[in-house]
Amino acid sequence: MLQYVIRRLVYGMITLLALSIITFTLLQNTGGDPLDRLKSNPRITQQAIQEMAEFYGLDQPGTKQYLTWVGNFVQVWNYPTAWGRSFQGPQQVQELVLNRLGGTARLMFTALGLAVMIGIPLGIYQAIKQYSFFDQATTTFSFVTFSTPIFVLGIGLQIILALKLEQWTGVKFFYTSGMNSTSYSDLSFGARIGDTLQHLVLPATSIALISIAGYSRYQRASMLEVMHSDYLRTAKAKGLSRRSVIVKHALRNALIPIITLVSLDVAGVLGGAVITESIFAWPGMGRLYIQAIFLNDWPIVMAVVMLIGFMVVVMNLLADLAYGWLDPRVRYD
Amino acid sequence: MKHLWQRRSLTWLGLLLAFVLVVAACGDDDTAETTGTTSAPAATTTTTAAPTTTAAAPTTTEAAPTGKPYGGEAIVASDQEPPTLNTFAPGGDNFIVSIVGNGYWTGVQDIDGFTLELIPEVVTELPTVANGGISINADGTETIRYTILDEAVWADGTPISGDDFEFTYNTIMDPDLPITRTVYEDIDPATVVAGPKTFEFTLTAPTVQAELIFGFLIPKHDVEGSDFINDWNDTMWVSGGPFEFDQWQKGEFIRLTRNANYWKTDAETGQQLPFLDSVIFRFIPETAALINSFKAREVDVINPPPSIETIEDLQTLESEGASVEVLSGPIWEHLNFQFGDNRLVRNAGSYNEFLEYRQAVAHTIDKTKIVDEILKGQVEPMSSYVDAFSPTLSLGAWDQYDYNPDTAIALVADLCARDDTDCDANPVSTIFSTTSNNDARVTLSQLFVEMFADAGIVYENQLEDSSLFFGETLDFGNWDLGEWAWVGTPGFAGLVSIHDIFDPEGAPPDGQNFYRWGTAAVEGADPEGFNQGASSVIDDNTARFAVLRDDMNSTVDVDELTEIIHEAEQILADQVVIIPLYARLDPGAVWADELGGYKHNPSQAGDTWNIEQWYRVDL
Repeated sequence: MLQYVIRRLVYGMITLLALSIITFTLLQNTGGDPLDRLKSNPRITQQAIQEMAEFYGLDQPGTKQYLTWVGNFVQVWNYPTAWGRSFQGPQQVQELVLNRLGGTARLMFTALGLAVMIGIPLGIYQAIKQYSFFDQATTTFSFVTFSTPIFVLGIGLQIILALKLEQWTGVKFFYTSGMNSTSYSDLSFGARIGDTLQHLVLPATSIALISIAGYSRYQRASMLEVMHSDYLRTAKAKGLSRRSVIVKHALRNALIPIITLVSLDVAGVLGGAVITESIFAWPGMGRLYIQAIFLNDWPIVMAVVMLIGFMVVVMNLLADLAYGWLDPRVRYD
Repeated sequence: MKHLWQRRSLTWLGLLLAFVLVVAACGDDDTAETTGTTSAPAATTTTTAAPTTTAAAPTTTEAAPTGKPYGGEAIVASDQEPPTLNTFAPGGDNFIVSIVGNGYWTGVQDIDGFTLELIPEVVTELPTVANGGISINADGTETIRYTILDEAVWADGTPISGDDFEFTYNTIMDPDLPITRTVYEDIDPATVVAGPKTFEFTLTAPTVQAELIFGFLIPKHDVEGSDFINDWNDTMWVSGGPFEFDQWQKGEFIRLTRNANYWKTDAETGQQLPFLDSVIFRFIPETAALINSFKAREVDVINPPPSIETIEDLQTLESEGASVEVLSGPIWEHLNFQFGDNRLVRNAGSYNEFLEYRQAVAHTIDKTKIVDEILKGQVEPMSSYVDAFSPTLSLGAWDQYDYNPDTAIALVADLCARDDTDCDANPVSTIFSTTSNNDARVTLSQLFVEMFADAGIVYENQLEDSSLFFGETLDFGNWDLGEWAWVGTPGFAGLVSIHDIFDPEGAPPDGQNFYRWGTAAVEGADPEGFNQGASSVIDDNTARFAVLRDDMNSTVDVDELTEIIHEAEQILADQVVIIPLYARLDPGAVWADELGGYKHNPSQAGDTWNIEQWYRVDL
């Protein structure tokens, strides 16, 4: 088992190295220059732009820029200078990225938690009650939410639950933007919880609704497949109770496929939710990432891509290990 | 049993949901937070309660009997977040840095939101030849003297002095710092004289550009000895403006609090400024969310992107107490011709070097239709680039080219009748290039199809992603007919500097004459794409323009300067080097039933130019 884990980790490192080379090459060849925006200002001279290029090391050949970057990037302990400076200003990338992790984790784990806790039981229940009114109704709801663009969903929730609800009731239930109120640090513990929820509910719900739809459909299909298997029919024939059949025999096996899905989603958590974070002005990685892409700020793009890549490698490994725990037939040689 | 199981499941599900939400809520507020390093002196108004994010939650009410009320908070929303607070650091030229900085910076000049002219801020008056603040010396050098306001002090009570000017100068000139030193590098260091309330220096040659320098002063007593680039990104030095930096919650907001030692008083009531206890800048990148925040009155002031739909949406709120002002902004769009070799890479049959062709294009363009289609007629088309800088100085030199397809057809016929053209073998054609990821420009390209067809000119659109267009295309002049925007700056300095982009002696990569109008051949440049032959247009006009450009850069006499600029404007119009189209809209919206004193300022100063005069009307 240990040998297997070590081998997977070595493969993972090779994958990350390849990922960094491919991403860097693509970013270097997108045709943009991080300092392009300066050119539209006639008061900034070519000399000033040249000095700026030297400051950021952009005057160096691409290969040297990559080797310098990768050499520094792996020295994560040299906080906050290890990952270089953002091209948007003199800020250190490591500081910028790590500062956004908290916001992203709060939003994404809440949304993911809601999706797992609602979506999976929902899928199981749909399978148990196959073709019932509940199954039909929730299936329709899943299709509607799954096919609604998150931008529409987010803005719609803002308008209905933040703007209109306040107009109708005169009470502010939810905020349209931000992670906390500006007076958060002055609030009592109870008020902080309330304030956090008032900001968190809409963005988390936007993401969760779509994920719930996906998870429930996936879980329903997986559960139905297991429920129609021979060994379950045997279990029923042996006279086991319906609950025992479902919980002890069907559920455990039906959960195996969804582990892959959840583990990949957990890996993607670090990337944040680009659209949702922008709509709700949520200070997360997704917003940082998309802004960096638009501004050719490749040190930030590289850092986020590498973090996501790292999480994908780790979560895939954990998922494979979990298969072994759930399915005794799986062995690691 | 079945029902019991269902009830238990639901109970557990509910408990789990509650647990997740509470865990999420109780987590530490772990985004980056930076707080001000300077403690605020006791304010004349006292904050008795924490401000809230809802705008209508003033903390204190202390009004003069007949004056404006003190206290409360204003929330300004922006779609951008500053990359740094230090305007001298890389990224410090970003517009939002100034918007926030207007709260705590001070300097020689500001831009008046009503007149869009430069006004003095920390000095008694802006130096001119007439008031003795500028003198031209016998050796051809220019001496400038500032007299600092007696009452001007930093927030900690330290007087603002000539030493702060000198320290600012020395910091900018530090060769180890990546700071733009234009104009400052022309100051003779030996001539710098700093007094308690005066500062004097001599420039090696007269230049009107000096009117914009020392716009931001650095407090020597607070900054000296620090790491200038790394120490002042997330926090700010002691304030010289109406507010002090208090807190930056990265990704969310910046909070400024009242500077009780601010020296300015309200001209109307004589009250000490500012009126507000605090100002919050919230960062909401998505336009729809920005508008929804404003509609929900979670923010008081917004500068939304200049989309017509957004403006019309906001204008529906005017009946509920909002005020929406739409003005011509400083960003002006223009059509232009490439005169360098690489125009032929884009269009092998380019006729850009022929004046008749350029005049024909000028008569082909229906600017009124363009403004009606793209801006719904909210502003007038531009008749000169000078409109974007000092409208009162504009000759409107492009008014000579009215929209007239018949004239355009006649000019094309004249062109084809020339001995040096062969329109049968090489039909008159235009290939238009601009950025494809800008809706207004895409609309423009669509409008051009019909306009050029009416003038009998073969036309083709070749739009590109902005990264390519503003990269290789612009650098190497790989276009035939192009379109993009420049940014205007009020005052003579901006107007003079814009002429650099037409300087026949300024071919890229060293210069900014991307049009290559009148430029000499470029050799030995790196990368090779810059290397091209001489411009297809080098004549008496380009030679005269080069002289004018040099003259305007060495003249400080306003009358003389006006005359030179007029002649330059006329040459550019007569020669149709560019065709100014329109200035982008610049909307500003405020809940006027909550916040008073706000005046939208479309210039670089931004809407916070008079933030010290904002007050809560709902107190």
